[in-house]
Amino acid sequence: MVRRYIKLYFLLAGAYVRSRLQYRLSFGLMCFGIVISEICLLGLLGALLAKFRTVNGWTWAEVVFLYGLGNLAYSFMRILGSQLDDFDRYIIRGELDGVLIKPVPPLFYILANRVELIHVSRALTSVAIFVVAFHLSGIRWTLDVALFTLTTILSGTLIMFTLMLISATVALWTTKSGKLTDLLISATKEATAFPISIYPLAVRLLLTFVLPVAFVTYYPAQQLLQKGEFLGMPELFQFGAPVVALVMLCVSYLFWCSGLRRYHSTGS
Amino acid sequence: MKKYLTFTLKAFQRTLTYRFELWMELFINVLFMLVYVYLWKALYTGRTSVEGYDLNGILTYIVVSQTLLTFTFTLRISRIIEEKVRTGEVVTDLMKPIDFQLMTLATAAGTSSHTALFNMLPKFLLFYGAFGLSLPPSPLTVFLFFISVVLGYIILFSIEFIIGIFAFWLVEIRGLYAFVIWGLAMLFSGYFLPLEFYPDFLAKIAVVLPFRAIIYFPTAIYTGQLIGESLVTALLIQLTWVAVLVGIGRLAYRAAFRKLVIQGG
Repeated sequence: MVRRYIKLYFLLAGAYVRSRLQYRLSFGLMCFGIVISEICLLGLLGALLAKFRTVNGWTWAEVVFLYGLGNLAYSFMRILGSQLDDFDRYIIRGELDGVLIKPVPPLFYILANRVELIHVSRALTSVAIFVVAFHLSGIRWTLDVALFTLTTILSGTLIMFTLMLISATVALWTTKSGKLTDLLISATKEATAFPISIYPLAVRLLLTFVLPVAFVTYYPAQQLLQKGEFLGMPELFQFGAPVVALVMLCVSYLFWCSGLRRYHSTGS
Repeated sequence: MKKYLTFTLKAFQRTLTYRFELWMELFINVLFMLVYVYLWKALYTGRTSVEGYDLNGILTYIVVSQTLLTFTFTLRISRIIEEKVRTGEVVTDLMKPIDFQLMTLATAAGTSSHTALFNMLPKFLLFYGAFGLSLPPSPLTVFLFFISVVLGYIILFSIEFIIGIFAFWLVEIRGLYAFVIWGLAMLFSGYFLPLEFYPDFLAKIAVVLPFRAIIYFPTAIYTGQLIGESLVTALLIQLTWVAVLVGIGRLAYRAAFRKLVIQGG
């Protein structure tokens, strides 16, 4: 059963990727554009850190580590779920009706259908940035650290993905979500690039319990960088990322299902 | 002139349709700005002044520049042109007895004035009140600030217009868009930190590119960083970029339309 779905995923994704690869020049340009824009964003952070050296007691290397960790989760999420970016297209054009009659779960079909290989270029850039940041922040490689890092990245990817899914699902009620999904993810990604200790309590609570992206970077980083900076939250939060990811996965999927149940076609 | 204003008005009304989207957008924008405001507050603890900006000065700079950045976020001219080229709708535009570039600008102005009124203005006022930001030094600066904002907007529009016209040759312009707008414009427009804070080599590159004219110039006029002669120079540089980029845009779309005729649509 699972193997069948994996096979199907690669079949659908492969077909789309092949069709995109027909236009070599524009594919190459897109990868190039994404890589350059990633480097430019890092350049901005670099310019800032070159001037100020520390952010709220975090050294510049530690900030780059936070940025790298969030960026990595974000870029993996883009490979997995950027098809949800313009999910409202399915509704506005009535394509969702076609998806609903396919003999696979609708969400699976949507995710597998338009996998953009260009996002791999972003992921590769992020991996490079993260490896350098990891090295710079002076963390010693052990098996524990490696496992913890991998779990953190995986959980972070899932947390970001569920936020994407939730904001895309809103379109089932409002018909249009436009660039909201993209905006929300960018905003939360931006927020995770810096230690959340710089924000007032209300924003910290928002980033911990409502849009729980503090679990993508800040809390796991407490363990990896041995900062011990919990701001009144339980110390257990440093290991909380996988739990939060699972809870968010359930919540977002239930939300998605309830959205589908009340969906009425636009009839166009 | 009147026919172009109709495009502006229609675009303005179209945007009014999606209320929920607008509220959500405002909410997320505010979140974005909060991140930056608190980041700078943290960076300034224990410092009084960096590169001529005190805390109040830098917060004013960040809020004004972030507000102006909204234009970059919401202007989707290159995507709209790309879509028109792909669907062939561009042909009906060409048959109309109007200037394609001006019509596109008029449409963009409609959407953007809606954004300015219902997103940028409330956002700015909210942060202005909450963080006690400063006003420009004099009424004349306010006037020149708005002139500079409009010039910066036309420069942003012209760059997006040129990217959009590339759709006639490339199938997909998303890569070009990411490269120019998400890469170069973000790095060199000064939206994230004032150009005075840049390392020398980056500042030198920024000077020869048009991107600082989109956000840095108007913002620095607002904060009083550019005054007297440097303010006049900034406005002249903006005017030059407007002329150059609008000109390139015209040449590009003439070339594109010639190509279109050869193919017979």
